[in-house]
Parts: sequence; structure tokens; C-alpha cells
Amino acid sequence: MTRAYRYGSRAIAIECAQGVAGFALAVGLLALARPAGPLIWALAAAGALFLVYFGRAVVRFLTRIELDEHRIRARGPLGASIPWDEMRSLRLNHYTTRSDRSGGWMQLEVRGTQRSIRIDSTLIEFAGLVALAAREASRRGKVLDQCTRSNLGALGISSHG
Amino acid sequence: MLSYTVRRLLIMIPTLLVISFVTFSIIKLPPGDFLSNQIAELRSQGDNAALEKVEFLRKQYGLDRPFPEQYAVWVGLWPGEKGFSGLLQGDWGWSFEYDLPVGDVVGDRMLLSFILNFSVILFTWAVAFPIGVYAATHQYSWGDHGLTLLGYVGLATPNFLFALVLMYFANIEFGLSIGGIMDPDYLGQPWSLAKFGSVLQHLWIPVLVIGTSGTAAMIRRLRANLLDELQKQYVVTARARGVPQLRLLIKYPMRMALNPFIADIGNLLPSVISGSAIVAVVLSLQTSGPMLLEALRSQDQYLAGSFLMFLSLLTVIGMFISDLLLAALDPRIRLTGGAAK
Repeated sequence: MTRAYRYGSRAIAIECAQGVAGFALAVGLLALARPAGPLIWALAAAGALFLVYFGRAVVRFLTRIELDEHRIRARGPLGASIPWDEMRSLRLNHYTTRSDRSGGWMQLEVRGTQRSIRIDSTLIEFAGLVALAAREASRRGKVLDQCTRSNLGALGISSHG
Repeated sequence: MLSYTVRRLLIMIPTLLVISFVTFSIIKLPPGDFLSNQIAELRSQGDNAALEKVEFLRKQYGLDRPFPEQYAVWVGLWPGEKGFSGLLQGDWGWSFEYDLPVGDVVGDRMLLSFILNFSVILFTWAVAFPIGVYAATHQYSWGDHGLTLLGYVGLATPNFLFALVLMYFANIEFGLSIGGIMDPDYLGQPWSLAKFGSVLQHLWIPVLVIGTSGTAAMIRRLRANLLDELQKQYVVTARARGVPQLRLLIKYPMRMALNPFIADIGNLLPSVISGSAIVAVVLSLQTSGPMLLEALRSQDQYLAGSFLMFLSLLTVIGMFISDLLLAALDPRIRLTGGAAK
């Protein structure tokens, strides 16, 4: 049975707003304040990064993650499909910008032989998707690293399927 | 990592703006400014020509304008007498005390500070790392006890005191003057191989003095972190499975034990420029620390403000780099800190 997942529209709206705000700030400073040499490059790089981030939010809005017993697939622009039998590794990372490491978000990375799919925890029913992916990895005898096992445990998912 | 980098950048930009505002506010907090003090002095001497210059400078640097406008001009977000010309445009302002652009005043000293403090960091890491690893892997051995004792002595000795003791003994016992970071002949001269050689000859004393306590502290932290990791279940399991000792040590425990050092990069970057100001005063080092102290004392606002802002920028960049490295090296959730969304 194929299950489909989408990113939450609120999360996408926040990402778009962050991208636009950052881009406007960087380009605004470049245009209005006419900064000095090294700062021009730093602001231009930051502007480009914010633009890529905005583009990625749009791509996510148009993407649907599908998962069944044979493969995981990202349908949409820059989509990819990885059959479970070709899965090389599965990683679950946690990131936070707070110094006390509270809050934050997780990212699941499924690597195939040629492509990889990265999914953030802003995806609706992310934990369910991670549990299914971890089960497929376990069935195929993939060894998960210490960090992934620890993060799976935090979501209440067994790393042994 | 893209999300992480972008979110950190979004925090970084307003942080820098707030820091710049706080820095400027603090610099302006004491009543009057450098020029008011000068005016009072010149009035008492009846020097009218110099008074005109002071008034010219006051107008040129917008010291007669309201506070918010002065701040915006200083940062480069608002046009001043010379148009947009502030920190953003690379104009650090004018040092009233030295009567020179801040960039010219700071330039040579910044380089010397960088050489000195970078050498201190290298020394600290090169000495502390092998000792810390040895002390942790040979816990409670004679070597561990001896190195621990040395570490406590290093931690308990203030740097400036160590500098004074060294200067005293060098002078009394060997008739040597170990102050300064180069021979006085090279002061103010352009950089040459001979000048660089003289800096290298003088460098080891301040490196030893400044680096000792940092090395001792680092040994203690590395030992404690590594001991924590070595007692964890996964290390015991790996050892029981017969994984070679060195491979086991390097693969996981060492990486985890390094996390606090990576987190320290944020503090290292500014200390490369401004660290050890008191030792620099004691040893008469021509670095930027004493200059910053003097600028703060005399209310040389652009010199002090630009310098503090530069240090803040280095701190924020250092924190950014260390956060990126930590996120890449150890993206584990900390259950005590809260759960992910």
C-alpha cells in the first residue's frame, strides 16, 4: 500500500518568509548602503543562499513523498526515487539553533546508489514515515549509526524495526 | 544543513545590529566625548586655531547630531558629511587621540596580535592535546598525577604574575630584558624579514606566559570529557569485541570529547585579536589589547567602538562556524533540552 505525505502549508509559508526576509535584507543592504569589498561578497553569498532556500521551499510545496514496500519516492520538481533494495544508508539528524539544544527539527536522509532524498520534520506525519523507513532499513540489515539510533529513540522508534 | 545555515544567518544579522547599537550606546554613555575634553583643555590655554580644528572634526564626525543619527552614520546606514561612510563601507572612523584614521592606527597592531594569539592557540592545542589524551587513557597513573599537579599550578597562576616573575628572573639572573614583541629598532618600521625574525625571537616568552593557563585548563577539560566517553557502554562493547585500542579511541570517544573545543571556536576568534591585554601591558607588547584599553579610557569613541564591533563580529562569526561544525559532527537530539517538532 502506498502512503503519501506532504509538507505542512504553514511550515512552507514560514520558510518562504524567511527566504524572502533574508534576501531582502542582504540585497537591501547591498543596494542602499553600498558596502566595502569583502562585505559585498559576504552579502551577495548570503543573498544567493536565501534565494536557494526560498526556491527549496517552493519545491517542497510542490513535492509529495510516497512510500511503499518497494521504494521511497519524492514526486515533484527535483524528485527522486530510491528502491529499498538500493538503499545505501539511512540517517536521522537533529538540528537546533538554540544554545540549550531545545526545540529544533529533524532531517531524514535516505541515500540510494545514485540519488538521495532528504525530508525535514515539518512534513506532516513525519514520525510515521521515519518509522516505516527505519523498518525497511532494518529488514535489509542496514546498520544505523549511533546518532541515528539515538534520534530514533527520541521519536519512540526502535532501531531494530 | 541548508535550513540550519539559513536560520543561523537570520539570527546572526539582527544580532550584529543589536551588538552594534549596544556597543555605540556604551561608548557614548560617559558624559562628554574626547573632543569636549580637548576643547576644555584648549580653552584654558587660549589656543583658538586648534579650537577651530576641533569644531571642524566635531561637525565632520557628526558629534553635534542626535544620538540615533550618529549611530546610523557610524554603522553606514545613514549618509554623513562624506555620504555613506561607516563600518559597512569599511570606514572605521577617525582616532582623535592618534589623529589618524582608525584603520591606520589598528593595522600593524592587529597583525602583531594575530601572530601572537594564533601562536598561543597553536601552542595550547599542541601541548594540551597529547597530554590530555595520555592523562585520560592512563587515569590515576604517576604520569596522570604529575600532569594533573602541573595543570593545577598552571591554572592557579595568573598570567600577569607569571610574566612579572619571568621578567624579574630574566633580568636578575641573566641580565636580559624580555619585554616587547620585537627589538625597539623595528618599531614603526615597514615589515621585512629581519623584523619578522625579531618578532619570532621575542614571541616565545609571551606565548609561554599566555598559553600556560589555557593549556592547563584544556588538559583538564579534555581529560574529563574523554574519561566520560571512555566509560560509556558502546566503548565497553567495542573493547569486549576486540577493537584495537587506538582505533577505538580515535573513532568515537575522541570525536565526542572534541565537541567542547569546537564550541570554543566562537571565543577563540576574538581572542586571536584582543586576548591577553593585561599581559601585553605588563610585557610592553605592541599588540591591540593595550590600545583598546587606552581608547576606552580616553573616550576615543571611534577607535574603541570600531574595535569592539570588530571583536563582536569575530565572536558572532566564530559562533556561526562552531555551530555549523557541531551540527555536522554531532546532530543528536538532547532529550533533556526538549523534543523536536
